[in-house]
Amino acid sequence: MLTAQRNERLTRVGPGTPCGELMRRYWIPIRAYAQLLENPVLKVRILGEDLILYRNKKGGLGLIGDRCLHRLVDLQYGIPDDEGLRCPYHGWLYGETGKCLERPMEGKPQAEIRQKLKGYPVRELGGLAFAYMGPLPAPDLPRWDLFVWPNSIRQIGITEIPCNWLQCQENTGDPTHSAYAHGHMFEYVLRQKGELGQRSSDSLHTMHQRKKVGIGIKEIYAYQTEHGFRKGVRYSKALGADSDKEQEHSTVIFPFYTQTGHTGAPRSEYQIRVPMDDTHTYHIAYQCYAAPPGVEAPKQDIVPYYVPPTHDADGKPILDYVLAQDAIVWVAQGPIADRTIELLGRTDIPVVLLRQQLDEQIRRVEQGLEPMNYFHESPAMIHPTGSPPDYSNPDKLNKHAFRKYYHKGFANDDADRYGPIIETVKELHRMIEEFELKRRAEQQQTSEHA
Amino acid sequence: MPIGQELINTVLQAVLDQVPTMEVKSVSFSPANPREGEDVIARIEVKGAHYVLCEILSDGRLQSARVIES
Repeated sequence: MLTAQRNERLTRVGPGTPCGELMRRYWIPIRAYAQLLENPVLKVRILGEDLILYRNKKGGLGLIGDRCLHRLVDLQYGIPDDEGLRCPYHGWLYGETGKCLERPMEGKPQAEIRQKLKGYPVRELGGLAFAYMGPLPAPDLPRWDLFVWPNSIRQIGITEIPCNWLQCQENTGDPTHSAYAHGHMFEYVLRQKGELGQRSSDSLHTMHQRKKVGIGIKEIYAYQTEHGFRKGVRYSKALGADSDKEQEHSTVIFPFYTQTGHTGAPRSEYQIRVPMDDTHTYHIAYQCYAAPPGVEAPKQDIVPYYVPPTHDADGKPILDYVLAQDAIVWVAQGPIADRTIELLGRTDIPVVLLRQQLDEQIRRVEQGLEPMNYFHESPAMIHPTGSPPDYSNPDKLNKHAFRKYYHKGFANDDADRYGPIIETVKELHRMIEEFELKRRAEQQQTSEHA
Repeated sequence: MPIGQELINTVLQAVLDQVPTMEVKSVSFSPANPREGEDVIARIEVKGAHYVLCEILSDGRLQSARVIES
């Protein structure tokens, strides 16, 4: 359990709060760029601030305060101009710094006014619009590998989750939740729907794999890395596991990312838990489907987005895919989990490390130091897992094999099933499987000849 | 800001306070008497069939934590 004071410290993200100040040292993904192509003016709420994200007529991006200085009209109804955004009421024009550039009908020459709106830098990378809301100069925008990995196709799943961001992120510091949230609960849900036999007949089905997560645990570990932390479970056959083995869980990228699947795999993903405010999280599932050397991924000009539903038309939660199973337990902890009354156990040791790391990085900012993953100049590509993919061992790339076989029906168990490119992904997975089988046969032939 | 053993104890306390289901029997350190500036590994014996190892860096960072079945 935490003290009330420490719970506040780790969860609140508004201006001037300890965690809010930490978050303001990072480029924060705030929308899919494709959303701006549909509608060039979007109202956003990030770190407790109401803002307007816009794309001007020349394609430049801006993120400014949401109320016109003049008569306080909400600028979500604004009109993109060559240099900025115009208020729809009297046409006052704002540039990307929030400065008022023009006040039509107020006479000429116009004296510069000292009042301005908030204005934050925005940049695009990998199909996402990123904002930086901290002290200037801004750091460099980190080129995390899935954003720039070649020979890939991508899609972006967006879900607004009505709870504090840390509940979502603590899930990634919790390697054993899968046993129930994605194993036993999955089984329960499929049985209730009458789909258990049909959906989980294959032994590769995630439900079967996840149910084993809690059996035969010898050790639960977590350790800090250059970019976040890694954690996992070591199993012992003597304790009931099917073999002595180690299973690493997803990789945490500080402060609010987690990566599942290895970069370069047929399916990998960043889950990004962007704090909208203290009680809402903008959850981005950034999905990347990479082809190995020898297979060509389809060309993709724009990374499309989609909104995976968490509830059906009757308002009942949809629980038959992995992300929705996570989302329901995050929300079910309350708007901000009251950690003063929680009762952690041994399996929560990685969660404790995650909180400790967060506290340490908050303290660095309080001391005037740069926190982890603050880049003056980003490398051309950053591997949060520490290494590029090993294509000579394709089985290791996707540790959950079902995620490389979406063409065999397994897409149905992930949010990806709702994505606009899912049929293209299935075709890519079919091509990759065909390529791997052919390569394996050739290797076998070569070794037989040798 | 505490230093040395005091800093180590602060970090350990922050960890153990969060996991009240683990009842601490004893804590030992390696090295046994860490000097200022030295990293340490704390071995925490808890009731039940497991123990906890916490690696604490000299600057007070919790570098790693693991729970191991005895």
